[in-house]
Amino acid sequence: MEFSSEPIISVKDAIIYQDEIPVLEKLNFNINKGEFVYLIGKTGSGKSSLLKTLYADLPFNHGEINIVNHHLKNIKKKDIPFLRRKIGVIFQDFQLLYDRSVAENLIFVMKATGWKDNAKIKSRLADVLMRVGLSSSGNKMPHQLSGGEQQRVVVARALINEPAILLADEPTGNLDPEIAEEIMNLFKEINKSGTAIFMATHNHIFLNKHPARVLKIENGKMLDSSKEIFSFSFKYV
Amino acid sequence: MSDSLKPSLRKKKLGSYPYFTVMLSITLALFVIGLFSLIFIHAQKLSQIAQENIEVNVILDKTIQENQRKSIEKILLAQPYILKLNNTPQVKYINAEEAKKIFIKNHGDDFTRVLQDNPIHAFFILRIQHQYSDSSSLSNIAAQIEKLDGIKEVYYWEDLITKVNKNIKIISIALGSFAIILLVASVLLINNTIKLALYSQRFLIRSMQLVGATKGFIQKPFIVRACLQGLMSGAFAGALLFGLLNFAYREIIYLADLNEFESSIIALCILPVAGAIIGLLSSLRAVTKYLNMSLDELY
Ligand SMILES: Nc1ncnc2c1ncn2[C@@H]1O[C@H](COP(=O)(O)OP(=O)(O)O)[C@@H](O)[C@H]1O
Ligand SMILES: [Mg+2]
Repeated sequence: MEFSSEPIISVKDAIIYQDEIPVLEKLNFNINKGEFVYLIGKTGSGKSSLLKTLYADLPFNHGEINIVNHHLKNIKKKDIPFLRRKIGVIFQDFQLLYDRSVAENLIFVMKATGWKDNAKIKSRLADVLMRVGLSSSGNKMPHQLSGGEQQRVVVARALINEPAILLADEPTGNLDPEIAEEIMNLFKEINKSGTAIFMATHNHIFLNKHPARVLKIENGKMLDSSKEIFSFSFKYV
Repeated sequence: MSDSLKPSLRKKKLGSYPYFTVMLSITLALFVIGLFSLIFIHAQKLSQIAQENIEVNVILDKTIQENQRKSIEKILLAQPYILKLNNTPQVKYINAEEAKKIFIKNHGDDFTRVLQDNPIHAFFILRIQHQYSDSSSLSNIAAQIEKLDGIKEVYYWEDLITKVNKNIKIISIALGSFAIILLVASVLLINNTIKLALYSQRFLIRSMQLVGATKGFIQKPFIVRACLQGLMSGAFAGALLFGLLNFAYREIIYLADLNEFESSIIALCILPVAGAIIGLLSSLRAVTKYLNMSLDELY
């Protein structure tokens, strides 16, 4: 018997644009609730563009994308914040605010996403810090943390609104292999508790060590490991 | 090891907002607007006084009867264009004897020595409200009065009036264009100051946007702050100008004669309101601009 629930992301005949130039064409894939999916491809192949389109940071007009029950085609500007609150994003280019403490970074997001009750804010803050193993670091400034710890805070920030899916754009890109492994394990734990994960990565060790479904972008098209067999490797240009 | 290698612990706040610069430039801009308003108010009053000093002489027939003269006076007193000072219509009757004295005083020639009879007519001197001081209104008024029985002629110094009106017009146009230029320059200055101040906040705006803050939530604190700054700067500029106004009224006697202190105060009270409104519109524009920018455009 098939799992009867709707996919959390469904993409049909989509074209992803960067500056009016199509980067990816004829995209078709679904991601189900609780699934763990890798997104791989050469630098410049369009991984970030796809993820940005999914959190409505790039305009989307060709094809159909439904994500956490929002249609992205012609989405109204005023609906975008509410879409973003339902997905957790680990951005490639937006890190922590370095002028304020870890707790203030997280509270900043809560306030920005409509949290008002101080007691709830405090308890949620403790929850997410505990989930990423940083319970005692709330008052530290980001620069007092190691790179791995900073990335844990970024993950905690993405988890604040209990998203059904995390979109992660090369979350281990700048980390040492052991630290990257720790972060990967953190993602697996989060995934075990039911949150779907869509992770763009360059890290081939993960693909072998933590096998999961792989979507690969090659020559502007997408290959899906759940439908076809292909090599995960590619040449850097 | 030198001290300079110590890591700086006090990191500058991300996008720290330049409070002092913003307040200073808004205060300056509003001060200029306010100062000009005061000049404008007093210049306006000055030209009004010049126009109200224009006199229209209504020369009566030599043969006129007292009751006829009275009825003419009554009609004149009731006219809407007659200037009223302290509720008294400015209509003055000069009888033939007084008219003769005035003539002799002006011309220094006692023609009564030659002539038996006093040839000088009695007349009324009218002062006209400034709204009616243009040439065409005056000639209408004159024509109207001349239709009355017992009037010989209505006389006013047309050349002078044309000149006065022309000068007032030139000065008004000059002041008016200068006011518009100043106003536009000041609004642009405030607008740019706020835009620059918010430029330092663009990544914060972007961050809020990325994590799912609504437009209103992002705009509100920036708009409230700009409004308050406009309000306070306006109050500050108003207070400075109030001091200046007081000083000027004390030191310059002619200013006190113009008696525009109260309307000046009202104009100064508008400054904080204007500051708040300009602050609101400028910040709204700037935040909306940064909200609609992509990350590449922000860098
Ligand atoms: N802001 C941008 N403006 C225009 N083109 C861009 C921009 N960002 C990326 N691109 C182009 O879009 C393509 C895909 O880039 P990107 O999605 O960043 O790839 P990846 O994340 O896989 O490295 C590349 O050709 C890149 O040059
Ligand atoms: Mg990328």
